[in-house]
Amino acid sequence: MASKSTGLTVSHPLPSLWGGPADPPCLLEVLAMTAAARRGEVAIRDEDRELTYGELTAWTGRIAALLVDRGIGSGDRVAITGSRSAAIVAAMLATVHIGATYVPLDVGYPVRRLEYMTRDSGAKVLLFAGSEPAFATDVESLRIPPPPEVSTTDRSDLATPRQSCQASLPIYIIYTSGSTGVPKGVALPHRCIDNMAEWQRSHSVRPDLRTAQFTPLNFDVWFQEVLGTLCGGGTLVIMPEPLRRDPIALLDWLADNRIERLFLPYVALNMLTTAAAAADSLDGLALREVNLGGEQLVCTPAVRDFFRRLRGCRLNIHYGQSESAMVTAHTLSGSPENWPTLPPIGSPLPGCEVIVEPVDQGESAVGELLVAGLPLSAGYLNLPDLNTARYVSVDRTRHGHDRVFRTGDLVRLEDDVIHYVGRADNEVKIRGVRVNPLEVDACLLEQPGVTEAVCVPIEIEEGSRQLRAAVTVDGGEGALDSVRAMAALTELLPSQSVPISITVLPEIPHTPSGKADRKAVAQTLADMHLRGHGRPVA
Amino acid sequence: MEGDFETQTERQLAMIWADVLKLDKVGREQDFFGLGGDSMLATKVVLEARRIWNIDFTVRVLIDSPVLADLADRIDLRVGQGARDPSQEV
Repeated sequence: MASKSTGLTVSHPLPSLWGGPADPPCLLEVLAMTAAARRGEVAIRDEDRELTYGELTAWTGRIAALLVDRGIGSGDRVAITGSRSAAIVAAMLATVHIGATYVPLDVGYPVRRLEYMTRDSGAKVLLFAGSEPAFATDVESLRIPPPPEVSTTDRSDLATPRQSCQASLPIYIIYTSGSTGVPKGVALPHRCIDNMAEWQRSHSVRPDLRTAQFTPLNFDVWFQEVLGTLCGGGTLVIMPEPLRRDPIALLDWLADNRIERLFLPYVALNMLTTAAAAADSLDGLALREVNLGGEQLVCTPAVRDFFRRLRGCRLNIHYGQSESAMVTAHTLSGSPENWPTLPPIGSPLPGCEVIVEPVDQGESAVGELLVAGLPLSAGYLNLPDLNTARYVSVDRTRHGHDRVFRTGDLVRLEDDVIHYVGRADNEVKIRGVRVNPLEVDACLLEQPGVTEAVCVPIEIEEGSRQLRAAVTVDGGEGALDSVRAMAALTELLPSQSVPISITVLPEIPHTPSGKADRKAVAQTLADMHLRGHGRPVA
Repeated sequence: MEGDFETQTERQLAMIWADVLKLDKVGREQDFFGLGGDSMLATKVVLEARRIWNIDFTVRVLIDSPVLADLADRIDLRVGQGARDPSQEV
């Protein structure tokens, strides 16, 4: 239980699970060995090119040499921007190879957010694929050079510099939605990502599965797709961006490309299985494994039907967060009829300990999930107060851990597996992505005339959760320029955080304690939608 | 459904949209995503359109033509083409 005097320490014993010891090898050494053993096999494919492990190694070496030439070395941060592509993967590998830290900047993000992330991360250089970046930075920007011509007889390998493999050296920095109106960056060290990559390599049905690269650049699952596949000797196939919103076309693409492994957020699985339910045959699919993350899985009839028709394809549930990458996993196999409707998020990876801090003393197995061990990251960038609140000291556990990350997720420990219960705060998942509605509220409050703002998730139906906002305005309804306010939000927030409508209310309902009553606001906005009011701003 | 629809396809499509979006009324000039549609709801609309008109549209068509009257035009065009030459792409 948290001691109220500091609010920061946790005492034992609390209910916990331990994944057993782990001593993962450096992923760069695993990559080098895999590349040497599979020199002539296809490592990666996108719409522009197909590269063997030998060619990808040579490309990585060329980009690494360019970075070293610009004075980039161990511990420096390298921002990389572009659309999903083999070039981004090669540039990330080059960055990590020289011991520098990769900062992904998805071109789909608003310019102001990308500028903030570049500045906040302390990037020393910006690499880009495709067209010149549309955002301003103080640092030098360089185009990612094309892959060199490699002869098939070239046997030169890329030796891994020893100093690039330290357990505490950050591999990447990613940003998630914060509560203050700006995103928060977190740095993930080797120990955490080496553990994730090694686990992925050894826990799939085969290490060398042909895998779709589905996840946008800015998310942790991107690293699982890329590093899990390349460390295991598989082929990574970069999915064309438009297919993310088009499950009907995605089904054809999965069949045409003989994709065996897919990582999906729940909303995408829901769309895919809905599309598949209307397909006469799924015989063209080569899927062996679907890995679901980001959100609680609900085994709908369409989900069960999909896996029944894809005999032999497993469904794995992965749980983790930007701050810790992979934490727990659970495999559903056997007859989908017997799968629980709300499956657990599973048990911890090797090297990981999860602890449940009860919220109510009468119910000791339900509480906030605390993460310890290898998945523990170094903390947020430039946010000491947040680090003090979320990365806390605990009495040393039986497995030797005395520091944990507070996930903010409420869970239940039952039959030695963890079940997800909900959030301890207001955070929601929109299309599988973490969104803190308080960040949207903060951005709305910056708009002229807005006096109070509450952004809430609304579900028109299962699997279709969207954000809508209610505001009060100085001068009443006519005083808000909603088109302008919406445009301003689009400049500040990633698309999943932009509400689809802003409704002016005469007043925001409040709870007896004086806080905005978010549930009542959600109910009001849902009722207005059904009556055809509060139409979104075009 | 009541409305200023110009074709039977528009009227039928409006009924699908209203059903999927849980709205009472949809107009021919309205934008699917502006009405609160998202990718999941778009998938449902396109699957229903594929079933009713027997066309091989993907969600891309709705994303490219989100206004009801425009989408109805594309359906009519494809249905017409399908009658003449099933291999023709829109």
